Amino acid sequence: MSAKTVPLTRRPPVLLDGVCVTYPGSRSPALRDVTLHVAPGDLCSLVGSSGAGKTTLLRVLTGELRPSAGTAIVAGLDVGSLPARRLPRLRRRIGVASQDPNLLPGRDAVGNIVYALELLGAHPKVAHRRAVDTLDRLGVAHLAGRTPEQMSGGERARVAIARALATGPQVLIADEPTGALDPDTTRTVIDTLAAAADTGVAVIMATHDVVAVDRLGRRVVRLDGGRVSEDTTGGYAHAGFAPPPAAPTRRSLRGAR
Amino acid sequence: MSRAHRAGPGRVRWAGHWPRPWFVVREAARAARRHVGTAVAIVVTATLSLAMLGGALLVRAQIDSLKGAWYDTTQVAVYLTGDASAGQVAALGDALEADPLVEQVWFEDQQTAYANFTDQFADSPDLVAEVTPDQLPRSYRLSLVDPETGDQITARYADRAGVRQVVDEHAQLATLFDVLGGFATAALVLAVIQAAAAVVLIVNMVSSTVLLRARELRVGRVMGATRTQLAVPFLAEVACYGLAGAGGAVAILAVAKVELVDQRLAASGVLSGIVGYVGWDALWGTLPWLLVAGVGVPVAVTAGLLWRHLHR
Repeated sequence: MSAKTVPLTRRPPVLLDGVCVTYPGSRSPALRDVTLHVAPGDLCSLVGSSGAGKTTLLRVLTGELRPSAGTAIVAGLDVGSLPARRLPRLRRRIGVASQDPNLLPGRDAVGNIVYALELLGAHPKVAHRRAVDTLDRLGVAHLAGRTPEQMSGGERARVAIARALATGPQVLIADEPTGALDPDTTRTVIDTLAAAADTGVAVIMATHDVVAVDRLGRRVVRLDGGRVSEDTTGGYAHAGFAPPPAAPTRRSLRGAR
Repeated sequence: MSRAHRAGPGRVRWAGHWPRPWFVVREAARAARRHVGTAVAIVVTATLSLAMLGGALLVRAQIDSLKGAWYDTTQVAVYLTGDASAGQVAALGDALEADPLVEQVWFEDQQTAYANFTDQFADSPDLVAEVTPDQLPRSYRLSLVDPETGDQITARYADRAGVRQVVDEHAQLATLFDVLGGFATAALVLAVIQAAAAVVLIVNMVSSTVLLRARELRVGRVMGATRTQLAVPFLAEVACYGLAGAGGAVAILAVAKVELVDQRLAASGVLSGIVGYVGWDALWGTLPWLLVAGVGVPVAVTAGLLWRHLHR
C-alpha cells in the first residue's frame, strides 16, 4: 500500500514511501527508495556509518529537505509539497532534540520550556503547567529549578527532550542525542526517549551508539549507502516491519499518570 | 490508531501568529538586563548620534528664522530731495501706494528720521550733537511683496522729480543672505549625514544583538515559531533602544537650548528684537525625524535582515 492510499485516520505519524533524495550537484543520491513507517509509540533507532544517510533522512522528516522522489508524510503533512511558509506548522507537530541541547542560559529547565511555549503563543500559566507536567512525565522533575549551567551534559539532553515534547508533538526526532555522553549518562537519556515513546509519541533517534541500541531491545533501522539495509526489532534479527509496542503498555502508563 | 495519534501530551491551543504583548515586553527587558553592556552601548550611541541629527536640524531652523526675519524687516528707502514740493511728495506717495510690487508704504519725516538716527547712534553722542533734524532727508520706506524686486523699484523711481536716491537694503544684504543660505544648506547636508550615521550605528549595534540571541532564534525555529513570532520580540527590543535614544537626544537638545540659547544668547541681547530664537516648537519639530532615524529605519532594516536570516 503506498503512503497516499493509506486512509488518513490510519496513517502512522511517519510515513516514508520510496523516498529518494539527491543533493544538488551530486550524482549519487543520498537516500534511495527509503520506505519507513513509524507508528505512535515506536522507538526507532536509526543506525549506520557516517554518510549512510541518517542525517539526510532526519532532514526530510523536519522539512529541511524535500524528497526528489517518493512520498514523505510526517505528522499528517506532505513534506514534499509543503510550502516554506507552512514549515512552522510541521515543526509544531514534531519535536526535535539535537546533539547540542540548545538550552537557553540563565533560565532554569522550566523557564526554558516556558519560553518555547510562550513564543508559540501559549498563555504563561498554561505554559508553566505543561512545562512542569512534561518534566515530571519524563522523570526529570528534579531538574525543574536548575539552569543549564547547573546541569550535566546528560541532564541538559534530557531537558532538551522534554522541551521538544512540551508542545505535544506526534513525532520526536532525536539527532545523536547521546553523541558526547558517557555510557551511563547515555542510558539515562535513552530511557528518557523510551519514556517519551511510551506516552504514544513516534520517536526516531539517529545514533552511533550500537551498544545502547542493543540494550534497548527495540526497533533498529540500519541505513547503508542511502538504503534501508535492515529493519529489525531488537532480539528478532530479521528484516521487515516491526510491530509497534503493545498498546496496553501505553494505555496503562497513561492511566498511571 | 487514530486515538493513538492524539496520544502523547496532547495539543496546545496556540494563540494566533502574534506573540502576547506581555511576553514581548518581558523578553525585551530580559535581553536588555542580560546584555546590559550592549544595551547601554546601543542607547548611548543612539542618543549621541540622534542628538547630533537634532542639533543639525535646529541649526537649520535657526538660520531659516534668521533669514526670514531679515527678509521681513528689510526695506527699500526712497530718499527725497530737500526742495521737493508737497505736490511731488504726494504724487510719489500715490504712485508707490498703487505699485503692485509694493506691499506697504510709510512716510518718514525729518523728525522721525532724526529720532531713528539718535537711536541708531546712541553710542556716539558727539555725532548726534552735530546733526539737526533738517539735515536729514525725508523718505518713503517700502516693504516689497518680493524682496528680490528692489532693482525694479530703483529703475522706476530713481529718476522721478523730487527723488534724490533709492536705496535697496536687500541688495546690500544680498551677500549676507547668500552666506546664510550656504549655512542652511550645510546644516541640511550635515543633518542628512548625521541621520545616515545614526542609522548605520544603531543598525550595527542591533545586529550584534542578533548574535546574542542566535540561540533563542534557533530554538524558536525548531519549535515551529513563525517568522512573525520570532521577529516581533526582537523588533520590540530594537524599538525600545531607539525610543530611549530619541528621548535622550531630546533631553540633550532641551538642555542645550536652555543653557546656550535662552540663558546665553538671548540674555546677552545680541540680535534681540530682530530674530526669534529657536523655540520649543522647533525642538518638538525635530522629534518626528529623530523617531524616523532612531526607531523607524532601524526597525525596518532589522526586520529586513531578520527576514532573510529566518527564511527556511
